[in-house]
Amino acid sequence: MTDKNLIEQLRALKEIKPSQEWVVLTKENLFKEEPKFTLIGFIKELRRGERFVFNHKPAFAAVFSAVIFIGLFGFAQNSVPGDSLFPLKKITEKGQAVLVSGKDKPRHDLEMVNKRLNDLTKIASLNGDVQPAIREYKNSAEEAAKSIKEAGNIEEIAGEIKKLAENEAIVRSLGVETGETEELENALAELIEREIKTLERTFLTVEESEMLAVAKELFEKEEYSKALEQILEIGK
Amino acid sequence: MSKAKDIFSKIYDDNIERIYRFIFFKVNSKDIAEDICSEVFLRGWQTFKQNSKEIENPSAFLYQIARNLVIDHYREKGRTPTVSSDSLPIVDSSENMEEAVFMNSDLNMVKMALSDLKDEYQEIIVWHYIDEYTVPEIAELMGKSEGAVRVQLHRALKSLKNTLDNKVKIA
Repeated sequence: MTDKNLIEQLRALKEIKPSQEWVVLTKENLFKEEPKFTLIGFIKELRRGERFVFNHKPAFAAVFSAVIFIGLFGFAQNSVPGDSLFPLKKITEKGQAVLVSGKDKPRHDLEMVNKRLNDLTKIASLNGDVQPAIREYKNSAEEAAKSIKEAGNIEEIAGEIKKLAENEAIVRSLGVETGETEELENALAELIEREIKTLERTFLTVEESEMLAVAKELFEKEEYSKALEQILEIGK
Repeated sequence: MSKAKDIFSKIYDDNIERIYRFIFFKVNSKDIAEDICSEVFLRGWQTFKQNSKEIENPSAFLYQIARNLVIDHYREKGRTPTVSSDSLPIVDSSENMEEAVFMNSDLNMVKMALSDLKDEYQEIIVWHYIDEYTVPEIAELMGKSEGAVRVQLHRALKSLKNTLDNKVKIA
């Protein structure tokens, strides 16, 4: 057989081709929409997923741990002193406190005292064990006492001091005896006394002088929150 | 998705016969060739719709899938690609052109000889003389230079002639 003959024979093999019906049918099947849901398909996908997770164990372990960790911290935000998750809440709060500037620290620390009083209220209203919450309240009050001595602008902390008086009243109304928070009381007294002395050295109208006299009376009665309100009114 | 579908539809139309023939010469069975060929396009489509940009040469991509599936076919159950006149389908009617081809004994001999060739020779002959790919197109499919393709084509044709001569002598 010559090369030419062989090539002619080869070209004749072009007639080997699939049937047109099969070509059309195969194309139709190719572009058919995949079934939306079948049990077997679902099981196959599940097994594929298992294999994927197995093959990427370290990565999934890290992600899983991170999810658990974040989840725990999330749940911890609703915990109160005495709960097992409360230490996590404290860690979060301490982390946030690091970011607070020195100028905002007095207000932040008073906010913490109010939070602990809210915790105490929650526990007391559910007849729970109030002792851990009282300890936390006292610790936070000690912390706030240190920082409010340095407070430059009393207007910024006045709101929190007012809340403090209200929250203490609520706790007392529930029959909870928290004991003295002497350091915080002294710090507040020093702060208000300083403000009164400053006002005494300032020229005041008759009306303002009367208001200052009221503030002094409230201060003498150790009603520091009300005294502070009165002082703030004089400035207006 | 519909754009990818349109593009792949064109790829299917342009390649279906060639891929089928490519497989047919390797497996010597219409049914098996159809099964493998449909699987080739199914896998091709699944890959194409996800990463169409990564497929530079769709024909070369489909031939590679076909090659792998034929290997899998023979690996399964330990089959080996044997070709003899006994293994060829007995055709006793001329229902279609494919069968008519085998009615011609010379053609049948050529077909058997082609099936007996080693894969690289078989593929280059099928691409050039049957599928009518040009040498530069084959060079692209094979990832070789045009010169290398010409040399291989020459050797493949020579090998086919020798195989055919041997078959004629035995017959």
